[in-house]
Amino acid sequence: MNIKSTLAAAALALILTAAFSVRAAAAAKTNNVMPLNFELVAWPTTAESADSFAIGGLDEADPAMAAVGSIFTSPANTKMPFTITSRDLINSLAGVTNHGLPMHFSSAAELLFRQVLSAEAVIINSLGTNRQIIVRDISNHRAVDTDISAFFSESNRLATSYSVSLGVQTHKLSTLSFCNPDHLGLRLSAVLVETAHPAKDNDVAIVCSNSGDLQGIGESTNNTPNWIVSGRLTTGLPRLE
Amino acid sequence: MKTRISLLCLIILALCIVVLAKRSGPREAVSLAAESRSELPGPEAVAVPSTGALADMQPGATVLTGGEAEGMSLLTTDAIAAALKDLDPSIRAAACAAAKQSGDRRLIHTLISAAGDGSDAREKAALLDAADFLRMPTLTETQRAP
Repeated sequence: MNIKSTLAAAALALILTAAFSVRAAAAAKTNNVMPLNFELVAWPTTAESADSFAIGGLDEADPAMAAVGSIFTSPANTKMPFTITSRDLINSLAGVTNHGLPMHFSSAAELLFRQVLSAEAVIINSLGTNRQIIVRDISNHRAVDTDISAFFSESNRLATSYSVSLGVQTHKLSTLSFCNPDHLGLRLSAVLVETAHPAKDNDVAIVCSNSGDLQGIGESTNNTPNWIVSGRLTTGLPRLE
Repeated sequence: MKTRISLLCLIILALCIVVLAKRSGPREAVSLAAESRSELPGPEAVAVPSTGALADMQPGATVLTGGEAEGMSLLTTDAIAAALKDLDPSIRAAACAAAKQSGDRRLIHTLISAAGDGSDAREKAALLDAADFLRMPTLTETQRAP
């Protein structure tokens, strides 16, 4: 009788320990991660007009706005418009050095926004505090994250926040840039709408979505004319990890 | 006899606790259906930056293990095509966005077909816009062309 009771208690203790271990492990993985989807269309300008849109010649403070004044017609332009998605941004980074070594990604790589949910400033970069843009790729059946935030920058000229049923919604008048000096440059103006869900246990608001229409200019470094770029940025389902 | 029954009850109770604990963990699998809904992350946990072994990885890379690798939201062409015909409009909208991101031109016919089947003018426009988007060359293709 005593032996059986002891065995039962031991089994129960073992199972409870396992249960709490699972819970503790789950609590340790809590960055907020969302797929970042760029859907852009680029219209190449004519060679003659390229100087008007040269990125270096525009107002650095607001390049996309400065381009608005240079209206022209291009009846001789036979170049096809093309699309730029998150996949193209990842592809453009192939062979580009990051931390001193060239990057290479597979076709399974994903562009993600990552928010570190810490009340302290763990990461400070051109995207703000505790925010990163990463590429998640599969290598040897493991997911590998590469921080490519250094290639992006976001500057907000104006922002205003309101309470909504989900939490707090912030409208930001932003300039979003992607600068890969070897292959590709994008400078885009946007009104980005960011919705954040306030956390219960700490003061960190969890970003649930970030989207907006984008317009601006783009260029590649292979002496082709610049492009007028227009499209949309959206985020996928956020998940904690 | 009573001891056996109580022992059995204790084990069942413990198993229930384990199952409940597992269910309250982070969401890892991302499905198209889930993407289309406004599901929010549970705010109960404290965050830490991901860290891991750096061997044989990209410069500045971190390694995730287990379920995090499974969380990658890769969707097949067939899955997107099926979702474009789903009864739920939000799932169709998510599938339309996924089709654009996939860059897979095999979906053009499905997008046009779905636009013909639908009755919502805005949805039709979005589906045809996605088809046009896929018809265009991508930046990567443009740069590879001689």
